[in-house]
Amino acid sequence: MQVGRISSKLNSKPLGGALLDSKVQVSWYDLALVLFPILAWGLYHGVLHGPFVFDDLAQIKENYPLHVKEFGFVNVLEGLRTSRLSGRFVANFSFMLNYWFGGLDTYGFHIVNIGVHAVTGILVFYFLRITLLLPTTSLGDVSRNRASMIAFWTALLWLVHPLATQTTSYIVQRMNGLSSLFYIGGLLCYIHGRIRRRKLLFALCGLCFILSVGSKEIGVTLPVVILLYEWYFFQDLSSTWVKRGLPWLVAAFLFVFAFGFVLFDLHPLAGIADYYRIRDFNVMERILTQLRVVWFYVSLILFPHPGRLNLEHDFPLSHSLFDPLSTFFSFVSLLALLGFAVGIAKKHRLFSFCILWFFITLALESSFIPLELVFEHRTYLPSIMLVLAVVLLIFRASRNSKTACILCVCLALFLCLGTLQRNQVWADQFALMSDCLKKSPHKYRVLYNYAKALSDDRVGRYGEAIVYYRRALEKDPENDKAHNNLGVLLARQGMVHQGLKHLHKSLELQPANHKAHLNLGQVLLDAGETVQAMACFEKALALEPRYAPALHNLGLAYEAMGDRKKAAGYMEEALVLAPGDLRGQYNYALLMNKMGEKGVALRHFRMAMDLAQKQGLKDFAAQARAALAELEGQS
Amino acid sequence: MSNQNKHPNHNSDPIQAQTNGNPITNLDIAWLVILFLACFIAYWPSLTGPFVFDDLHNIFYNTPLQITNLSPETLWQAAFSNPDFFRPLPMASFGVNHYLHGLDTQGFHLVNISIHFLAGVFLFLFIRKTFSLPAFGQYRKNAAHLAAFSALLWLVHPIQTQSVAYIVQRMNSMAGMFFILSLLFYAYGRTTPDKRRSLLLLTLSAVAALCAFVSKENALVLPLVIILFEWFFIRDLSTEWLLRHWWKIAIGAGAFALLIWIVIGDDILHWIGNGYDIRRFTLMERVFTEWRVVVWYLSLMLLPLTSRMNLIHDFSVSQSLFSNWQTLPALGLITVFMVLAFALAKKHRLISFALLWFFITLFMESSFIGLELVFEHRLYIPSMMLGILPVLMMFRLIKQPVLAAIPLLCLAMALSYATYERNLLWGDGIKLMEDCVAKNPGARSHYNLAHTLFLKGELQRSIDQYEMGLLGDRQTLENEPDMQESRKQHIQNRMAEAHSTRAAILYGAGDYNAAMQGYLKALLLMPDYDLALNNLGLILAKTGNISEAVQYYTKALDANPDRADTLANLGDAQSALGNLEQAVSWYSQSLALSPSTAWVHANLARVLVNQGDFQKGVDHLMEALALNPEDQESQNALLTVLKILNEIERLEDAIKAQPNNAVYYFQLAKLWEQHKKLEQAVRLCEQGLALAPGYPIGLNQLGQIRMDQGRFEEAEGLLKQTAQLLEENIPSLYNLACLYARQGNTDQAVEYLKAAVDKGFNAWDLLRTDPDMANIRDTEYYLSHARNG
Repeated sequence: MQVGRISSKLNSKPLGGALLDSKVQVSWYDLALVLFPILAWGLYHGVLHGPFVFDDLAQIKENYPLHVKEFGFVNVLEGLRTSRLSGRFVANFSFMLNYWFGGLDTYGFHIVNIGVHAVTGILVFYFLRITLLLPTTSLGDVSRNRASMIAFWTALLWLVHPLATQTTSYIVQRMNGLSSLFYIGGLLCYIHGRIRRRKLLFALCGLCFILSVGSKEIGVTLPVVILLYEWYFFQDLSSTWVKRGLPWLVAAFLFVFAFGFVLFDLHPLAGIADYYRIRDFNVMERILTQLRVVWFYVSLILFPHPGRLNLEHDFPLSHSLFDPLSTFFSFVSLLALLGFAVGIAKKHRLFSFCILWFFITLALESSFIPLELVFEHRTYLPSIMLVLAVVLLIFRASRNSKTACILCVCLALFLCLGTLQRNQVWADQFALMSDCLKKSPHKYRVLYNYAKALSDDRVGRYGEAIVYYRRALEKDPENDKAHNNLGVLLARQGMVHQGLKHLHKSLELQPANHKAHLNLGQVLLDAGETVQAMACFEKALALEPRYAPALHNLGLAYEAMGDRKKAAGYMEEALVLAPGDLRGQYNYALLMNKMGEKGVALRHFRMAMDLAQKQGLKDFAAQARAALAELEGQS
Repeated sequence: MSNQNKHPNHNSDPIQAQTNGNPITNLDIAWLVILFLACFIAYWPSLTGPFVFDDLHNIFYNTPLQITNLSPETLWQAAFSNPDFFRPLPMASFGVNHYLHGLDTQGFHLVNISIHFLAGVFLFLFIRKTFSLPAFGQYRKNAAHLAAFSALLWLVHPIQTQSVAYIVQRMNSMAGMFFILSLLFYAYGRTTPDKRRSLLLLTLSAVAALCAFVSKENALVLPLVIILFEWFFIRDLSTEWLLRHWWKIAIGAGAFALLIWIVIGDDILHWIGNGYDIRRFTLMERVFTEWRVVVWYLSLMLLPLTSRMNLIHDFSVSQSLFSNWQTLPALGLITVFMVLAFALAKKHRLISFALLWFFITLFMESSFIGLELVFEHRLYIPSMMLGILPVLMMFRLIKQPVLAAIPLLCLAMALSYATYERNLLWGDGIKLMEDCVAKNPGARSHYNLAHTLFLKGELQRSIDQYEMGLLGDRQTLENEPDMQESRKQHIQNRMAEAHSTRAAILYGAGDYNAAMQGYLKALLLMPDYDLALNNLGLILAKTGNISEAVQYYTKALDANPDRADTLANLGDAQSALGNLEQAVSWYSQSLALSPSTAWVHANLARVLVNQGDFQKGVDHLMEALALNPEDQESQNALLTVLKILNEIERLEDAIKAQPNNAVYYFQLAKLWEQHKKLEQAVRLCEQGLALAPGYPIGLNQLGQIRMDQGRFEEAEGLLKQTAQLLEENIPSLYNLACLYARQGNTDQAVEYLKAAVDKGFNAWDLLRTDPDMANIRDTEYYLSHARNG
């Protein structure tokens, strides 16, 4: 601190009207309000047309309960109740709104995500500023301007940090973003409530807490952080307060415990154990591995080179405390870090808080709960305080705040470059898959997803896709989805024998998969086994009654049997459910044409053509145009 | 503590307070803006310049440099990709350029200009620092202006174009930038009162010096310049200091020399000694000539007319002290300057320093090392201090600083204009080379122009220029029959290269014959020229002389065993000749050398699939497609292989499900036969025939396999049996014809063919392409009927 004070005095000497020294009072408030949204937009505008990827598909694109057309109270509630991951109703509701506004166009989804990121950045600024100005943060004689400056740069560096791309560019991780937004919002309400003694603000804090947990479960640590904050900064680490508050603390723990209880159907441990069954690691292995993962997160936050960022980290497991040896070192160093945080609590309270914040906010996802091992979006909330620690160090080390600001600008530029580069990957599905494959070439899911991307009609690299599916199946021979997709692909490429084998295998592994039934039926239909195919479609519909492709195919099957009326009925039903289905429109038009309904056929050919053009399928569009022209020529 | 801080002690020394307290003022910023604008405006036209001359083999053709991802390994690879020298830093920076924007030259130029600008800024700061030292009391007030004008004059001097607009000479400008940066840090480090700060600055100075050394070797004189600076300005020319510390300096110099020797090794001696082998002058001649060159450099500094500047100067060699009358006067002039430098040291220290700096920094490249005689870029560092001279003169002549600034500004404008003019040439490439040819019509200039034209796609003009160059070289060889052997070799080599590139242009235009002639000429001049040998092989292979092509490929490999493309070409040739095993081996060797060549993977995969090695075939096709996803042929080949595998699996499953149905055995046998797995096929046929003895399809199949195996007698028996069973239908007769044709028994073959034709065979296309029937195609019967069919 001494250094900083000296330099600020030297600096304040009049120096002959030097340009850089002229005191321009920057309003950091206004700057943050204006700059953060612009920055977020500038860095993320490249992904605005990025597609749905990975979990987006299951949670948004194919999560039919969220596809609500008429916005009524009952409709919405019903949709939220029956949606996938219905516990995250806040995020789901936002997806529902997005769908209501723009359908399945990703543009709107991305805009909201970017907005959430920018707003969170602004809230982080407010939160840090008010924290730095508290008399107990042991920053001493921090002026208002300096506090704003530190808060501003921290929030900005966090905003432009490449690690945030996985929360912002990945649509479904809006859950994470929203949860963090309400998390910080809740904290801010609490702090203001404590300073101004307003009950309303506490109520708002409670609401934020609910919204945060309702976006993603990571919000449950908010009470712990609030307690810590209260003790650190309002109670000045008073031990009597702890003693007095012990009953409350116990109550809080009970609350968390109860939450877990409800979440896992009143059998918390059994629920967790159940979950572990689908993972290839056990509790001990996960916890031991997380010791290393936490350090990995720290390294990513401090050195987020785009070459190190990966959607699918392939992180080797720790099997025991000494296998690999780095587990042990991680364990010891984490303990030391915790000890350090406790030790410096009195003197360097803010640093101590930063470290504890990092651990607490990571606790849920990096401990015993059997989630996947590593995900970059998990660092979204924890990284805030690590960035603060870095910025504080910068400000402490530099001679005056101007130097520190210049340093921060340089850092921010580097981070921006990283974010832009990372977003180029996010903007294109195929680039993202290739990136994952390059960085984790041995992971089942990466191989599977890459194969899926290759077999997309717009890419059309089917042969490679087949080989990659096979490689994925080498890693996980019992995966029904891979068998299913591979089967369809093989059959479509004329390798019916192997295709049917894989489809049967898939259904053997997972008999309740409506898609596999549909696919099997499709292959059989193409092979001329109409009756068997119909049975398959019916099974698919029994499992998922609103499954448009099965209805459509059933229609095709009836058409093949010669029952055009029934065929038309099923196809119409399918089109009501999925009006954007190109194939559905086209085949229906063909059928109508055959049945002599020229007008209807014309309309649907036109729709098919528009859809094909929108999706960039030029061949299909040409086909539809030809059919249309022929029909128009006749009439 | 806080009391002391309120009254800092070091404020007692006004100089230091001024120089350390507040390094940047409005005035400085204004000057920086001017320097920036001057530099970028003057060099803007060079942005469009293409790769020329040495850029080509250092960057354009230097594949290890052309990295596409940024990691420590690739950077390392780029850093040490220089074919001739140890210059890792600029090479790594080229690598980064390539990573960012590929071979687009604009980015390279932009970095070069930025480096030049930074060098100007450092020069400005260094001179300003020097002027504010206690020895220059009278200038301290105007230090910033004096320094800025000096730096500006240097920055816009047209002589620097060759270091800045010439991409590869980033090596030179980078060395210059770090050279002056190191001095800057040194000057600040030696004058700051704060010990820790001083240590930090001196460390930074050492780091910058290191960066300069690994940019270009001419920076190695830096320690000498630092000692000079120390003695002149810090020690105030104290002889006492020099006498007391000379041994330290000597030890330091010795250690430094030793260090360089350890790092570079024997190459140093090689450098000095062997450099002369390919030159048209000897060591003594070079030293004599360099005296004139140095004087000429000075004149060029004074009068940098664009008409006097050239990329490659043609400078006559001084044979002895007297043979070129200017030689001795030049030495005299240099001596006068040296004496002047020492004489002025006390009174006009800065002028003396500037002169000594000029000679010291020029020493490396303009003395005894066997490099080329003249290059303008060699003046980059030596000219740094020369800008001070006119500035000091003006400020001394004209007392009013504002008035003194006017002529200096005019001078700067004039220099900028010349630089701009020169950069217009650099920005075009062809114009630059044409300028070069006009000023120095030697063979080398013609070659350079020809190559630039070739790269720009002006092929006819390029060929003309090559021919002019070749003419010139031929005359040189004729006129100097007793030249040194190594020099003759050098000239012949460059003639061979010219012939080869000319031939490549002709080949591209489709004139195979002329191209072949060109390569043969190149090989006459340079018999082990691997590129020519390889390309000659390619042309021969393309025109159908595969066995001759193989000979040339083999020769190319003898000359250079690491040619991955030649290895792959050999693979292609062997594959065309039907030696699949050999082809696989050549392809594999090629891939071991250069693992990421898509077409080699694809060709290898095709051969492997033909041999029935499906799994490896698929792997190589995957590699090929990962490298080049657009390759539709490989996409199709991959799908074909996968379909074969599907078919094999289908038949195997069918055999498993119905082990008594012989048909499946025969179908599978046929598949295996097609992919050269004959033993497997035989086994299957035998199994099938055991289930259904005398089944004609099986007999026929087994007969064909025996034929493939070369067991013709067995084959004959089986096929005849088949024909009998099938009542001599067309396929059975045709197969028998094949059998006899393969044995060379054309009469019988023709007989059976006739029989087939009588029964209605008319698939003449099949006959035309079937390799089994090769022997029959010159028979009368075939010729007469094929024409009809």
